Amino acid sequence: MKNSIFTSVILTGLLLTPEAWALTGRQIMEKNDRLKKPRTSIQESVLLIIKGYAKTKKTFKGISKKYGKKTRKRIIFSYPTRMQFLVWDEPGRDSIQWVKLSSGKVRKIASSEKNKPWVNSHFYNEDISERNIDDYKYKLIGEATINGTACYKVESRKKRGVKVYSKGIIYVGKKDFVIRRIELYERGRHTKTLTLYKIEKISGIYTPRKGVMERTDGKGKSILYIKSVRYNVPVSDHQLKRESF
Amino acid sequence: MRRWIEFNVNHPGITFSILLIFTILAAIGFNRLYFDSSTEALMPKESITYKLGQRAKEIFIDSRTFMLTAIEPAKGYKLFSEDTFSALNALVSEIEELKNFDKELEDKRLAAIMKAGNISVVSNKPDKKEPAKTEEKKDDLESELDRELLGEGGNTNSLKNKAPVKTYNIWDVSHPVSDKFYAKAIRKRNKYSFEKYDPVELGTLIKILDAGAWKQLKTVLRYNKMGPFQKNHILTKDEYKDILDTWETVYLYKSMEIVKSFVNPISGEDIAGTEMELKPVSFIPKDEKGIRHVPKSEEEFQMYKERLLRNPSFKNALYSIDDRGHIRALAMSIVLRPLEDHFEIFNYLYEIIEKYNKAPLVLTQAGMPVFQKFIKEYMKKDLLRFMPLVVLVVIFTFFLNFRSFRGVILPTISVLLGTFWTLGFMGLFNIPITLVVNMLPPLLIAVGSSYAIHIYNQYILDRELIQREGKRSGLIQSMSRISITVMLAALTTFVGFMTLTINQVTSLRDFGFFAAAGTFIAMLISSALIPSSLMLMKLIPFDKKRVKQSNYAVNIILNFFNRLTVKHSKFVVITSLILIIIFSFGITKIKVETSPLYQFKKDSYLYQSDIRISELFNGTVLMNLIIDSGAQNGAKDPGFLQLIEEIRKWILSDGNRNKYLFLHTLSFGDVIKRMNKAMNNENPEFSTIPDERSTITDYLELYSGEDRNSDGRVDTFEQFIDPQYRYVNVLIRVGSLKNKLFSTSINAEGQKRIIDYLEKHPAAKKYKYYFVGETVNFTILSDLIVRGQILSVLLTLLIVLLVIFLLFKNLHAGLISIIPISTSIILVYGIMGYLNIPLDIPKALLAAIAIGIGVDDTIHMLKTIRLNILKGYSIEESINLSYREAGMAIVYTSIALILGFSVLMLSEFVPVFYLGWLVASTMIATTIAALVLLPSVILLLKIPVDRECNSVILNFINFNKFFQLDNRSNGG
Repeated sequence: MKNSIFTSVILTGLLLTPEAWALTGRQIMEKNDRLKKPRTSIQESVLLIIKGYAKTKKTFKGISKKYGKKTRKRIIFSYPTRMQFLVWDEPGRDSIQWVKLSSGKVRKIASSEKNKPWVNSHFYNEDISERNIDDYKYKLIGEATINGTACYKVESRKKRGVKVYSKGIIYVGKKDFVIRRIELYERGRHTKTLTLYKIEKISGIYTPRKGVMERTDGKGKSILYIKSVRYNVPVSDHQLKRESF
Repeated sequence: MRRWIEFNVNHPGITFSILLIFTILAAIGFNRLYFDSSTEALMPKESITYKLGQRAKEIFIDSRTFMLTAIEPAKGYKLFSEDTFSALNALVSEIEELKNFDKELEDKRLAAIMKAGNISVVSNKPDKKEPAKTEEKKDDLESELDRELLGEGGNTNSLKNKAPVKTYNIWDVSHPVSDKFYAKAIRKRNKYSFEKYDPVELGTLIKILDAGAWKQLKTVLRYNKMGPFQKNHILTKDEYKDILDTWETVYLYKSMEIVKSFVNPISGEDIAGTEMELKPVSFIPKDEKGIRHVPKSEEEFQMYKERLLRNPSFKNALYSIDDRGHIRALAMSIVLRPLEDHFEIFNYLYEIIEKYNKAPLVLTQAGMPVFQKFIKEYMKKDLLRFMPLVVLVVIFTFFLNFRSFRGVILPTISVLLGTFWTLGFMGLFNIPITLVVNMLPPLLIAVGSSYAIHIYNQYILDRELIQREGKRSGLIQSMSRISITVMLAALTTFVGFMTLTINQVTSLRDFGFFAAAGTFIAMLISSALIPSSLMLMKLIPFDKKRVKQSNYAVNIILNFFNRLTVKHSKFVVITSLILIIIFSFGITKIKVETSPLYQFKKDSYLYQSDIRISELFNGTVLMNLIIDSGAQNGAKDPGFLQLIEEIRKWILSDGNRNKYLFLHTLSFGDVIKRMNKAMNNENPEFSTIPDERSTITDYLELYSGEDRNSDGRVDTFEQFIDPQYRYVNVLIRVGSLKNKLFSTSINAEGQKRIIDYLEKHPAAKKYKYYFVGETVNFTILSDLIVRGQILSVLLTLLIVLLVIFLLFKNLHAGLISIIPISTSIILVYGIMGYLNIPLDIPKALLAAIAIGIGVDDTIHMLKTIRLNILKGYSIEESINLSYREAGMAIVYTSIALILGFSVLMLSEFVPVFYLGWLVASTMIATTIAALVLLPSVILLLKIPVDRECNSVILNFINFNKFFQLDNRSNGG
């Protein structure tokens, strides 16, 4: 009797210690993946690209809608071009894209290579496309504080598909499991860092209002601002069809 | 000068010690000497064109690193076959590693090699940490947007439509180009410890390295001229050191991603458009594992060819078509990132490509880097060839003259020391050995030998005096006598070379300065070493008969000249005048040529490869025509781009192509036209600049290429456009056609023609433009050579006249002293004009050498004639005596110089060959002019060379007293 009580006390004590509840990298990323996501969104964005002495500001509106696992997006630039993009994403397949030029001409464009810059910014096409958690393997490698927030440090490496980055170090908030920063490695070298700022909860969805993708050599950065965003508002299917171009 | 001789004769030990000290100092400098074959080494750094060229390198590309390789099948192979493409794929993959650095892979390879040999890294100072990339460092616009959009801090400003961009003038050459734009490695060079080296079998290395690394190892072995080895070869420590040393070097270059642009028919890309779709197309796609599978079947090759042919700008850039419209050759071109010196990496790249230059491929390399590589190698070859030969020649001359051991050894040592010291001082002052400076050592040996000959000759002549007066006193008298003459001769030669320092061509200035210094040094050493040595040696008894016999042949020549002068002076003078008139016309036909192609023999690899590649791919050398749109983003204006297309079309029109050898152009418009064609279903009619600016902007947004250095331009645009999209760089490729060789003069005319066209074109004339690049440098250099040449000749003649005038206090003497050298120069330059031998940088030395050295003979002869007249002899008698007294030395020194310079005719370089030939001819001419024309003029016109002007100034500037020319016992 005494032994079983003693054992129970010991076991309870053990169960209550943090080490017993330690998460793996995969688990942390699953928690991040399970965060609430919008079904539809309409956002106004500003993209500031700083390269050397050149600064370019681009403004665009983004409309997206999920159809199960598929996503359709429309990006409408207002400055410095009036181009529009229509993108259909589906997990496990290349995205389908159309472009409408300022002149009105429409062309389907083959899905851009993942390691190519998106609209000549420091974001690659890989960075703005949907990620499938199962395409990566994760490993918890430590903890750090990013902008005053305690974070898990998770190393991720892609296990299948085209590898744009040899690895990424993801800093995930310990309390909210929202990503604060990602350090990106290309061919073994840390080349860029994505840092997310002003994370607000809008309609229950964590939204970074500012994302900075910066080169580690200090030679430039691109900043994506979300000026305004509405989630889960009605979005007509027609807007996301080829015919709407 | 007497005091100098006294010191050396009285203190030979001190003399030798001082000589030794300076020799050691020179040895330190000698070790630091280096070769430089670039035009950079020649260009005046203060020239605006040079500065603009440097700026263009920073903004666009360093066009002097452009290299083109023609790819043809070996005999028995087809161009479009699996074998050929497999070999080409291997080559491309190896070069691509220098463009796309894979740190993980390279670290792994390096670690494997170190581990195999048990090598460790000696601890290095840690590299500087990466600069802190913090949010605190905000751009102004970023701060503004933070306030506007996020409500963070400060007053809200209204959003502006356009982002303000810091403007600056990229052509502001008042700010020096910093070395910040040079490519940099990711870390410092490792130092390795080989103390515990464990011998490694080559086969072991092969096993532990991946396929790419094994390819690199083969190149490394080749680069170090090692092998071929069997797989069971055990690498020695030295061999392993060399391998690892080169591997480390290549690692660092790879980390710089030193290959900036690599256009090739394997890994290249294009865009393709159909009615429905626009998509990027690789020439040979990679699979998921990143492996490229070369075409195998006829159908696959057909599809491949179609991809190539779709883009009009690939023609003559990636492929060449024969008369039947078939692709007969492919090409790849490389441009490197800016570095201070590309020689090392270029040599490595050259070895990579040469490694694959065997069946099934035939690879022909061309471009400025190839020229410079061969120029450097040839320069080294020349130097190694010249030096022993010219030394043999002077030894032979000494022997011919003196027929004794000491008569050969003493002058040889003094001559070699003088040359060694001069080269050593060049090394101490960091002066590079360029093509021009490469000729300095044989020149100094030849020049120095004449002083040694005069000094030793005087000793031979005065042996009776020395025997009589005693060694010490006799030597002092004898050496003092001749050293003055030698000093005078050295002074005029010094002056002749120093006038080259007014030239703006850097290399000519360096040559002039060190040739002058070397001349002076040679004279000092001869007048120190020879007397000091003779003081310590036994006196050789005087033998009249032997002297007479040994000079028998020369005496015949001198007797002939004597008779010609004395009996036929009128004939000599009139004939000379006629020759002067005839050959003066020849001078007007001289053309200037600085392009590298003219430096090589017609059967040389460079010459042949340039012709071949020009034929296949329209040229190997780039010229930049930079046009200023006048405003930021002005290059996106359709009107401006269409104008540039119009200019390009005109440049490549048949007339211009055939006349000025403008063979190809590349420009920013090519990208826009390509996209326009693709967006319009590949309709060739749309290979044009769109009319709407918004369409151009869209294309640039759509064209998502890499921007590795994050300067605002896609990497592939960098050679064509500046970061502000204001300046467009039109790359004009020039080269040779079958019947016409590329030359500086043709290119200079072509540039003028373009300028003329632009200035008269109603739309173009409002824009500013600049010409920069290697071909422009050639033109600038040729202008500088001509200007420098004229100035140099006039200045030298003037100085010689002045020196003689001051020396003899006789204006007539001054005036006639320039007659022999002027006559020789006119004759030789006239020959150049008539024989179509172009004036180039090496030949720009001709006048300075001819005057500087040739005037010695005139001075000797004039001085001797004058002294004899002062002794009371008539002009005719004086002339006869002078042949006996000065003639011998004049002839022997001339023989030494003629034979010495003739050695240059063995050069790998055509201009140096001609220089040797021309200098030798000039020496012959000046000798004959000094021995025949000069005395003929004096005799015919009864020139009073003995009279002296009596003026206060001339009495004050008494060269006579300094050079002790009044002393009638100082014979010559």
